[in-house]
Amino acid sequence: MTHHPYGPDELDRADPELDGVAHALERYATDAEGPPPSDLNSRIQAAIGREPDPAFGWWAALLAGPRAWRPAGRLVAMAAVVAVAAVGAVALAGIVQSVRPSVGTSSPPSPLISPSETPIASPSPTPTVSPSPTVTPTLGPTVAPTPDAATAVPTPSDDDDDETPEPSESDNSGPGGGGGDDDSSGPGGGGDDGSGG
Amino acid sequence: MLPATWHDGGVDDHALVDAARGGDRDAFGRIVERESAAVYRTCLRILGRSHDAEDVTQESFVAAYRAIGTYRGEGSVRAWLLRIAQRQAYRRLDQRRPTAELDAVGEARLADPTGDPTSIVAVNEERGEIRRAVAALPEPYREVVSLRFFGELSLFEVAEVTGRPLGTVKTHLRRGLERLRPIVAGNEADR
Repeated sequence: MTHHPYGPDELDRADPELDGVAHALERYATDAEGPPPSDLNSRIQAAIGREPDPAFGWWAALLAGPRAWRPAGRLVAMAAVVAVAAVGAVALAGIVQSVRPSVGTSSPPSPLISPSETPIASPSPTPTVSPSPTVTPTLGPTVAPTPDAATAVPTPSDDDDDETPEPSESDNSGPGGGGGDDDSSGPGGGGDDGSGG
Repeated sequence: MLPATWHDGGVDDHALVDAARGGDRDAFGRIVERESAAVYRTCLRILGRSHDAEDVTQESFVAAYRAIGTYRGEGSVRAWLLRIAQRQAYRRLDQRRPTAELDAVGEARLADPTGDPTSIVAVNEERGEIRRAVAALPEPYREVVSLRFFGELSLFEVAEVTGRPLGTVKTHLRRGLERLRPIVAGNEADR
């Protein structure tokens, strides 16, 4: 006996032949009915008992597979479109700005050159120096020669090796990189405990 | 939270799911008690063999338990479980060796040892044809036909659990039945 007997209105169209097919399927369903074995529930319960606690939230969605990602996927896709649009707009604005002076008269080229000169002078030392400044600033505040960093660059590179022990101390107090790692390792360990239990 | 109260009975499925999500395995056990017969029936109609249906019923509940965090309350818990179960059953059917139908014949004979062997074989063959015909339907027709007739869900429930509009589900049902017409009509003519 079916919970929802088939009715011809289900197809929104009168078709006695299809009704016959539906009734044949209903007959098959009735004939193929059988009671489940008495121990089926206990077997299922035992199988569930062997399972770890189910996952929830985004982790559950991740485990559930791509079909469950649909709502999150839409959001990510929308965010990606917005991000691409924003980047495109910024890039377009940059292109427009760079093209506009070159199209103009003789006065615009001068701003073009002047910005290029300043980067040439300062950036060329800084890229080579850039690894060392991350270390030197820790010393720098005590000595305070930071304004002359460009001139002081060659010598600190030699001092780097000597100063490596000191940044480790200043790292703990200053940037917080080491502290952050410590903090993140704490909750991570807790999470592991939670999942394990 | 409901874990302390649902044991009194009369709690709806969504409350049980919420409790199960909160780690209450007894709540999920209650869902198993309520729905295992319906899941087993659906699996039996798809697979045709009781021991396969038992295995797949168990696998379906385990899969549902693992994925309970993804149940969003769209449709009834039964419909959600039956959708999982019918997928698992068809997966099992795909993996089954081709000679398995012979086992089903033997099983029917065991179920009714007093019956005429010839008629048992004929009836079994007819059932097998319907089963195979439904299994051979392309998606989404197979899903809709299976949930509607083997899972005994209403079309509204099928629409809810599949997330498709009711009109689309009706169309899928009609196209599925049209594809089944030659096989079923042939069986009806043989009667």
